[in-house]
Amino acid sequence: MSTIKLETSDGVKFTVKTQVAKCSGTIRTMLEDIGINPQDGEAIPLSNVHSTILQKILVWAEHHVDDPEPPRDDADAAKRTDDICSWDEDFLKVDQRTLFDVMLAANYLDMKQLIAVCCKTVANMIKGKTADQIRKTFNIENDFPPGDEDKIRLRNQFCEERR
Amino acid sequence: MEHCEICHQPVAHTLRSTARGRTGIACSGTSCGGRIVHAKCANLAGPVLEALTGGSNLGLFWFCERCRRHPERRVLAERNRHQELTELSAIRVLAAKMVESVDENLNHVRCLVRGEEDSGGKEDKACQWPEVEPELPPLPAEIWQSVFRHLAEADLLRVRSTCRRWRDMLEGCTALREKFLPRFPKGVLIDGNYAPQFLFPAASNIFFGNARIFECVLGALLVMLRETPNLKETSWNDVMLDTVEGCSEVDFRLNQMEKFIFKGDRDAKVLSVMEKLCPNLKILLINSDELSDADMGRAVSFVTSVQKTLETLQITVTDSAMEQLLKLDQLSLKQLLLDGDEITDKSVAVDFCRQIPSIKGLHLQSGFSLRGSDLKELGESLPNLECFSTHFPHQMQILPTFLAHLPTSLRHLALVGDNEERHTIEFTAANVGQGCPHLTHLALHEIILPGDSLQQLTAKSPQLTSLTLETVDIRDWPALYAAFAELSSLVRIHLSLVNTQETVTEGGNVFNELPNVKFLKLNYCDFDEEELAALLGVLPNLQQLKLFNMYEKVSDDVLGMICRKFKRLSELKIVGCSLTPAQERLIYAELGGALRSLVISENRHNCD
Repeated sequence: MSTIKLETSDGVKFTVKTQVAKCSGTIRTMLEDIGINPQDGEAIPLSNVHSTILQKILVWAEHHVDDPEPPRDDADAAKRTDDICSWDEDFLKVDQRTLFDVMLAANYLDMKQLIAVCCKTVANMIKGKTADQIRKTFNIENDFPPGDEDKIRLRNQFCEERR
Repeated sequence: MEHCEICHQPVAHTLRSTARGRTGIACSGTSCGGRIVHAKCANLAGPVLEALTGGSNLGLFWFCERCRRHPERRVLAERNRHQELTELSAIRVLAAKMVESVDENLNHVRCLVRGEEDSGGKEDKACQWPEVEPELPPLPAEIWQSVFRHLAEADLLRVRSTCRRWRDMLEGCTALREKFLPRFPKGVLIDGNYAPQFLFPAASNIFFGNARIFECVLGALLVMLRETPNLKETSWNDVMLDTVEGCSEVDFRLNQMEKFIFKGDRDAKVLSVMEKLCPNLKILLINSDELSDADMGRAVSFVTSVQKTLETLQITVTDSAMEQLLKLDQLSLKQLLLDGDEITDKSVAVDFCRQIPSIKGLHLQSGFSLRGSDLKELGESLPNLECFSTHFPHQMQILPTFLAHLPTSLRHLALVGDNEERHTIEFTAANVGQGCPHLTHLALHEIILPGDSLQQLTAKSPQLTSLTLETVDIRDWPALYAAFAELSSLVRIHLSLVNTQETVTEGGNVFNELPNVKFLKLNYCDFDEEELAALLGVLPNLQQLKLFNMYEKVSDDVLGMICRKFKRLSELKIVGCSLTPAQERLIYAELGGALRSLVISENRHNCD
């Protein structure tokens, strides 16, 4: 089985099955289009990813390596968030910092499925919360000028979901 | 003067907070006839009372003692499921409000404990105990936006009031903004009493009509539109407007309005209003067959005033309107949909289009069918044409020689014959000429294709990804398969009402695999089950399969194939195919858990 080496921002080298590494669109492009030869033994530098996060992401990729290609994302399809598989759910039971770091790394590595499942997880953290609770959850400062928020809240009452 | 049913004191009709406890609350039940009590006597206070009296009915109901015991009290709430959902969301809003007020109090207590003064506000960060680790890595806007895409509107509204960055991310994303629609009760009359002051200013889309709004009074309409400066799209569906007098003095504009869709045959006065309000319109669709002369004039005037910005126009014209439109010299349309049964000389379309070489999409409807010579001329005068559909004129023989005159930029082509007397069109190597070499989408409707016509046509378009045949007669299935054989890039096949004129001789079903085909839709085609199996057999990578009205042709063999052959199948729809219960069970058992979407139905209305 062919393997390749990946080097993280903190200089840690990982030896990874090529097939697993190819879960990342970025790495796939490097290997296939740009023609980096994995047999050279030289590590592919991933300057935006820390070793702790890459480790985690590789666990995910290993588990999902045989997943079929996802259906093309059509904008009209209802966006469900209750279809996260239980393995992913457990996998993403991490502190928020790690979750965000995983999202950033997945974004950099172009791993659409992982981003999607992270987005669903974060969406579930927002669902049903008030603005104030959302702020607390994500440590956001309310930077609206006084009064503006009331206006928005009032207006908000006069909306309805798309028929 | 009304009196409280509990303490028999008069009921106040004011909403001042000091009088809140004495505000009257009416029972929503049916068994007591709407008894009124003091809020205080019914023990109603805080956010619950606010929701009941605030004038903004959140869908919350209060029932008196008697109605609460009476089984009929549910009648109102169970009127329909939607009502219940509204109630649920109202309860959620309430619960959230209550939690908020608890939070505030808690904060207050903390401050007291620490001996600090409660400044009672968000700016007092010192007394907030750290609950989240600071310095989360900032996510880029596009990641947040894909998070928000998973949220329904109720949550998006709260996201919107979280902070400025989130609000801007939300309102800056068209797909998200489109989730906001102003709320109208059903069957509303927008008259002088209609108060729209709370419309969501970020709303980008309003439907007038669709059984929600029947009639509009100009004054109220204008007040309402003034409230929604972000409006980008408006549909006007058979709604009466009382007058347009005075609309020339309107002192505001909807500068962001890009799209106006008009439907209806009764009254197009609204076009004059929109002409005043929408200086930057890009898309104008006027979907009406019978505009009066006055309304036709309004339409032309509207087009004239937005000719610099207009990109898409749909209009059914008359001779006089066409005369006016021909005078416009600043039109730079990209899409044009033209119809006009009353036009005497259809070739006027060629003159009109020649003035607008920017056209990329041209759709000539049945009222504007051109002769072959006009089509040639048209093709030569539109160098940027990418998408073209045309109807063939009634009872007129059309030679496909015009195809070679269409520009090489053409990607989409739809040819529609006559639905009464179908056109027989014989494509040959000679009359197709170079054809349309870059075509990716081809659709043929209401046409008879003798011999190997289809193959002759598609052979010239090797990049086809989508092929649609609807109400088309072909010689036999091998003629179709022969056309497929050269189209290895095909992704989407749609065959509807395709019939053969000859029965297959022998050995004609052998053809190559089409590895790229992902979408197949069949509706009432006259091949037998073996031929159906043969077709499915060469599509190993099918993702979406729709079989409509194929009756007994969906045999056990075919079903077995559907269940096992397609590893990538994610959507399956079988409608009107007379499946036996056993067959249905088989599908559910084999595929029920694996597919993203599975529909089996005998109801033909599900065919789309």
